[in-house]
Amino acid sequence: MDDCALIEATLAGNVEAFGVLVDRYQHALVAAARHLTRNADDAEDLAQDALVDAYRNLRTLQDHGKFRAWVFGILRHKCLSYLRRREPNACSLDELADSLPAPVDADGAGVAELLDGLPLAYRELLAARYVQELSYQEIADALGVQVNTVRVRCCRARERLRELFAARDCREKGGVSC
Amino acid sequence: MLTPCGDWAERLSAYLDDEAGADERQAVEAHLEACPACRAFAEVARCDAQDAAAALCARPASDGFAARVMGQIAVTPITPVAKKPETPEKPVPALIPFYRRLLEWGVVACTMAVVAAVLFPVFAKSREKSRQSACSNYARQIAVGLQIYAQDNNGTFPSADRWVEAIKLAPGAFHCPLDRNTDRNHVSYLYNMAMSGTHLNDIKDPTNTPLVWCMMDHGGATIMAYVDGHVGQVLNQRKGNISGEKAKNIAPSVPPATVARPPVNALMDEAARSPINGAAPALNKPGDIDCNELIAKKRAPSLPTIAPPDKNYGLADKLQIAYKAEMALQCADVRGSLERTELAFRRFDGFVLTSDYQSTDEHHATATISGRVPSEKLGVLLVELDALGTLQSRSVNGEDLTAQQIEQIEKLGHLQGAQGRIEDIQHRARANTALEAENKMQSAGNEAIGTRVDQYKLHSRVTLAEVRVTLASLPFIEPEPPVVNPVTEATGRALYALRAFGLWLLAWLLIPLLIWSPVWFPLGLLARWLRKRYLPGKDTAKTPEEKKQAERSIR
Repeated sequence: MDDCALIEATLAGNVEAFGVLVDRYQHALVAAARHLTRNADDAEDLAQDALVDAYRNLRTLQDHGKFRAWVFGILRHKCLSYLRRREPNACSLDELADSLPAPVDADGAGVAELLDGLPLAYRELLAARYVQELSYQEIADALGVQVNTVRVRCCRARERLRELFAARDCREKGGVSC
Repeated sequence: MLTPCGDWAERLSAYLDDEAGADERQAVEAHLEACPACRAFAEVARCDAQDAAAALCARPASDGFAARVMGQIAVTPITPVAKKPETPEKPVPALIPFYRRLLEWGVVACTMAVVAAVLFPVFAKSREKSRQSACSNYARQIAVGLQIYAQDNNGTFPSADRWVEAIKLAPGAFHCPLDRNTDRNHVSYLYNMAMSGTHLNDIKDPTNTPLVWCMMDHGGATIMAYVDGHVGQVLNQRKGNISGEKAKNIAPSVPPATVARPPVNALMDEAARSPINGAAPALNKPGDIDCNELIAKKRAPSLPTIAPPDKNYGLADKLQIAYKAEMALQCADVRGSLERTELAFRRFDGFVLTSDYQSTDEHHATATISGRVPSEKLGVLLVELDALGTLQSRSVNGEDLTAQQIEQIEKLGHLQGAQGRIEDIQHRARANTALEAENKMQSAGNEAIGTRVDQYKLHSRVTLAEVRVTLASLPFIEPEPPVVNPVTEATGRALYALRAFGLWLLAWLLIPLLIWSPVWFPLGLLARWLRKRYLPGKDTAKTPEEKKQAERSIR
């Protein structure tokens, strides 16, 4: 069942249909929120708020096929509000622990920490592209920019990614400059 | 570090993200086949992207996440789509009753009238002030011009008949802004004739001696320029008798009698008419002058003042009549020609002594004008008068000049230059040595004699020519009655009657109807409403039977 049918069913009163949508996108949304906020604890709350908001305002969605991009847009706004609201100097113990160098052996976690070092503009692009798997057009709509801008930013994000991975590879090889 | 060659990075990125267009994809694939560096970069970049995606999605949501979300959703209703607030329809303006509209317009008109009544005097006052200042400026210019003239001419003010020409001012500088005369060259200022030819040394009190003043009434005051160049305002409306130095000095050498200063214009007119060295103006007993009477006299239409000949040119002792010219003309419009002749006399610095117009019947009239002009202007005057009608006779000093001798008459004008030089030398001779002046006069006289016309001998002190013009209307021939086609005449009369009827209809019916429409239109509406209200059946009844029935029911 695709998104459109599920949404129509939800609007018809079937809450279970929306449960299917939640199951489908929960991981991607939580991962995106985690990546954007760099905070694993609040990420789930933000993703939950985004999904509940999406449910509440489901009738305002014009094109049901764009549900994924729409929910990501809501989540992005929530995350930006959260980042803006959070005091820049406030730092919990968990965050302090997160800021420590990640163990290299856990590859996924190590790469995730690496990616968290990117600026926000690239992080939201990576979240949209590689977590939500949105097209350039959908990303442009969600971010409110031109498609060409998204294209250029993706290229630059890829270059930054390459620099990060190259630096990591150098460290693993014993600090020899590459 | 691996980098794509050239500017392929962006296209490679789009290609790897599967966002390249068909053409771009083909180009990138062709390039990748050819370029091993880019191929290696693409492989690495693809791996990087996969690593990143895997790392980002590595930690899924916690197990209870979906349940928490659904639990919250269960208590959250879907917000219905908020309908766009419909724009309230503009209320149809109710038909304003006519009387109310009339009332509104009346209030507006009254307000405007009140505002105008308040503001108009303010504006008028400021306008009057500006005119006063402009007039004062003109008077000051004229006074300064006269002073300059006096300084250039051995301290002597110009003669009264040519004071306007004596000072070189721009055209319009003699025209007061209050003067209703539309001719910009009209002179609105009066020159104190007592100053005519007066030497500066003869004026004892220049500060209080008027030189020029405006004829217009500037809010009950007269603007007056004095000999020393200052300009002041003298009130006209002040009643009573005022003795003052200024009034005393209006005519120099007036005995120090007490004279009423205001109204200055009338007083000075009187004073100016008196000769320079003559008696004081015939004022009554000192202190008996009624200002209002003098103002009324001033405002009464008076004939143009003709200065007596012995004073007109300041050459009383040299006045001689050198030429006696007579002229007879036949013209179509005797009255108009008479006025034009008088104008010609004045234009050529002359004056009219007698002017007589007689009309025997509708078609016959005669006029006789007698006057004087300076002898140097006689020629041009005769040529000017020649254009008024058909010349019958013309003689100068008894010699008939009717036919082809106009050129000779025009030569008379050549004497003007010599005459002017004589006067100039006479002015200068007052200050210079008598001998030198005599020599110059002698030489100028010789020169004048050289330029004279043979048959008119120049007497050295000739100034005036006596001119007498007789105008008669053209012989009247009774016109024959025109032959009229009776059909055309009848048609014309019918059309005329039709037009008259149309005009009558327009003037007595349509225009009053239009003017009174504010009255009859509401009355008509009222009548219609009353009829609908109280005679409901009569309107709807179509057939005579129904009408009768309706009337019966009403009864």
